[in-house]
Amino acid sequence: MGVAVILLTALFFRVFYVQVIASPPLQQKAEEQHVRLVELPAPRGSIYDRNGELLAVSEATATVWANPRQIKTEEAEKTARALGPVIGLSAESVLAKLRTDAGFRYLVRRVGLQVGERVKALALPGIGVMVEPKRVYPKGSLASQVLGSVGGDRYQGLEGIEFQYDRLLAGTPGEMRVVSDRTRTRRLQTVVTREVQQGADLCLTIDAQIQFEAQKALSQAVTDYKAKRACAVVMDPHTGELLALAVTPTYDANAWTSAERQARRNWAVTDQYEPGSTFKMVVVAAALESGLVKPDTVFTLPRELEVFDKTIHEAEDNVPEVRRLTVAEILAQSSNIGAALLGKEVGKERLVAMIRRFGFTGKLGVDFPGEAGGQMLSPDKWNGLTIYNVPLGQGIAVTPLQLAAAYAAIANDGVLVQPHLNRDKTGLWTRRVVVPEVAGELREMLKMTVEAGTGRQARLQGYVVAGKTGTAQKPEAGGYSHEKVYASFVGMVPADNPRLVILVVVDEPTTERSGALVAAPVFAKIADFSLRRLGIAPTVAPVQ
Amino acid sequence: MNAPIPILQQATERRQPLGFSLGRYLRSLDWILLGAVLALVTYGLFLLYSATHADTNISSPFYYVRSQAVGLVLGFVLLIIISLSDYRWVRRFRTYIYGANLLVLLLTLVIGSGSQEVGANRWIELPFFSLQTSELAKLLLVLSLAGVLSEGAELRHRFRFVLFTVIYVAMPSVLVFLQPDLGTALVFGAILITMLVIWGIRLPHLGILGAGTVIGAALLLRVFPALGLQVLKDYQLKRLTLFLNPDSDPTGFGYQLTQSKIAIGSGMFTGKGYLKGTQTHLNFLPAHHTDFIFAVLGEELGFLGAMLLLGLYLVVIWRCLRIARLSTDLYGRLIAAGVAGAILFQVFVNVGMTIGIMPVTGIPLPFVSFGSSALVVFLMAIGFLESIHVRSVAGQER
Repeated sequence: MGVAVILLTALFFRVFYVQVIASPPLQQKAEEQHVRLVELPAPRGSIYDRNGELLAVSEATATVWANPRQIKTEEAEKTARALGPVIGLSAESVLAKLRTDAGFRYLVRRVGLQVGERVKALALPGIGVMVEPKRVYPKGSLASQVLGSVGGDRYQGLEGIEFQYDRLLAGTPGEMRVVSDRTRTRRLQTVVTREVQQGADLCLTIDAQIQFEAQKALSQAVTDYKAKRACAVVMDPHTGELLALAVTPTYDANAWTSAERQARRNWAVTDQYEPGSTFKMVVVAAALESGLVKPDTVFTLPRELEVFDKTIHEAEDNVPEVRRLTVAEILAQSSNIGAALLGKEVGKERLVAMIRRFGFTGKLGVDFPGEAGGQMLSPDKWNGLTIYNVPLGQGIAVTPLQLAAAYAAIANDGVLVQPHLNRDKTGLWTRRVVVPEVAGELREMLKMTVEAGTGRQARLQGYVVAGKTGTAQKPEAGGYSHEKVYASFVGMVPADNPRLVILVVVDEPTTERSGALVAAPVFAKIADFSLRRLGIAPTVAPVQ
Repeated sequence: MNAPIPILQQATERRQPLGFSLGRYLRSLDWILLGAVLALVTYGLFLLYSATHADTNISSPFYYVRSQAVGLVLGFVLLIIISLSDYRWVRRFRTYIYGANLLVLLLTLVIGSGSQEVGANRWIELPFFSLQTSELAKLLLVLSLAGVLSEGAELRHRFRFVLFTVIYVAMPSVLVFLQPDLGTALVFGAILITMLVIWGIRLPHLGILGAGTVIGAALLLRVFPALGLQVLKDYQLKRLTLFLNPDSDPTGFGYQLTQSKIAIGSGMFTGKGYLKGTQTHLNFLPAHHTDFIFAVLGEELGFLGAMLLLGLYLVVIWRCLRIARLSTDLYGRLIAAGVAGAILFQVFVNVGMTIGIMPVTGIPLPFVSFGSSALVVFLMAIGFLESIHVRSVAGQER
């Protein structure tokens, strides 16, 4: 009896130890074994254009997977032969996947739900189907660089608007507490511990039709002039809304993985270029704002301007020995020497201040990832030549968006409104760049440029256009290329009360090079369509 | 045969003319023992239901419970029959019992059936019953060894006689061991030791046996394997040493031990509630209806439930040893001691295994683990104890 008492007492103490003293960690282990937290994916919000046209939507699709370790060796071939035709793969390729030593292998991802149903009906051991969301872009290549892409393990936004507004679009995944058995074949208890918060929808400022027209016009120009690429910005100067942000060549957003990385860049926002003559507006604005000149102030211009070891020429060859041009004419005829002399007149301080006020030296803070800022030589490093170069749009780099925004400020009586893509974006900043009078004077001058100057190709039936051409040679080692240029046109319409600012940049056109010939007609096409699309009444009677 | 002890003969002679009286029989039963056993088997049925009702490979949630209940009914019928009959009558047949025991065990090795998972042949298929012969062998051994020891009561000073009993037990042990069923072989050893102590083995002899056991164990566990001589199968050897470090084998038997400890530990003081044990029902706990049923209890009913079970065993063992003390003859005393020793050993080793202080030997929990053969045999053993009690001084005084 003594022995019995001793042995049972030993058990007593040990059981007491295990169940009472050493219990908490054991209990935790037990919990870890049968309780799993399963994430419930939140449906991603859709993206619409400004008028509610669907640009991006998430669809439920079926993904078929295998657990090769659960498939007996002798059954692998049978499984592969049954499964292959259903999921559209050859039996051999399925078999190869089933024969890998892994606990999980995708067989086919994001296929139709009915394929998943058919796989489930086969009831093959070791083969499973799960629902995965798939991002679909119903309009294919429309605004693909703006929309960006979705992917990765958690199917999150990787590029573009999808990345920028990922948190909004993604929502919050829910969480489910699942009690399951050892083989996880049975679920005994499932409790949703966190509700799925569906991703919010997003409305862009983009107008799908204008975007489409802009892309079409750009593609046409790229083809016609055998150019490398082109981009266009269409902006409402009063609201900062971007009605179109077009980049060509385009690609199908549904097949973004097969598109080249370069093609996926929305370079109107992410890349800098030397703007060339379109930048001359800035020096004129600085000169007018400072009160040094009036639009009719006359300058006497030599045919060539010697500055240190460089000579500044006009773009065209047959200029007279000496010309007398007003400030307005300097802009209208895009006189290099005139702009350079204006720069000298205005001086470094005032020019730099104006460049800063237009926002060329920083970022605009547009709601798009990877926005580039402008690049200007730091004022204390300017040499004697810089003050003559910068007014011509050389030795300074800006993004197409920045340039469009600067002209939008002029269009909006001198006030710059932060450009943006989310129609519901709040907290936009506005900034006065020039006084309304100067903005009005600049619009008049730019009107002249189109009416009688270099921008004649941009004229429209029924509307007065104000704008500026640019043909910027690309910098090369030791100077500027004569072959490679950015041909551009930036304008606003209707000129007296601008509703739209449109910038067109064509990169490396080869059959023609001038902005006047290459970019201005594209501007005209986009502007013509947009005005009608927005129902903006013609301001001048059509010429009969 | 030696002459019976006079007082015993008197008692026998006194009782016989009176004939059978139901009232006297009922009054002379050890109701505390019977009550404790009844409580244990009922407790066991409830635990078995909890352990198995959610199993997916059975046709009805009562599949195991029904099978066990059949054994229970059969066992109680046999218990009553045995308790009504005179155990001393069996003593005469000790040699036949012993022989039959060896024969059955031998037969098991030849025609026995088994399950693939244990790789052992332990059952003989009878028309309505598949008999796990090693369980029956325990009782047969107790009955025959008690006979031998009571015959040799005058030979306590002769070590040769002690050695003879060791060999006497070793023969069925080896047969069982060959099945292979190491656990039951160890139970035989425990039965021998208990009965020798109650018999009155001389202390030096016990010392020699103890030393011999230690040397034998060392040979089996360390020396033979080192020499390349494989007496124990690999898995047996592994199981025997694994409890010292269960994490060394997280997928095999170590997994069982770890899971068992997790299940019991997570039960805490009051348990997770009947039928609410997650580790059991979610299949994390292997063999939850047989060797590890104590873990089911620990998880669902906690420390309190475990104490109730151990308390019931204590009562059973106490009553067994009390019957041994009260028995009017050495034969009855030895039977009672042997049964008590077997129960105590099995409880200690089984429960000890589930909480990590004993090796895994495959010893089930008496009256509780699933297995009709074991249940029937243990109830038969209780029948013998009641028979002894009825015929003991205490029984006769009522």
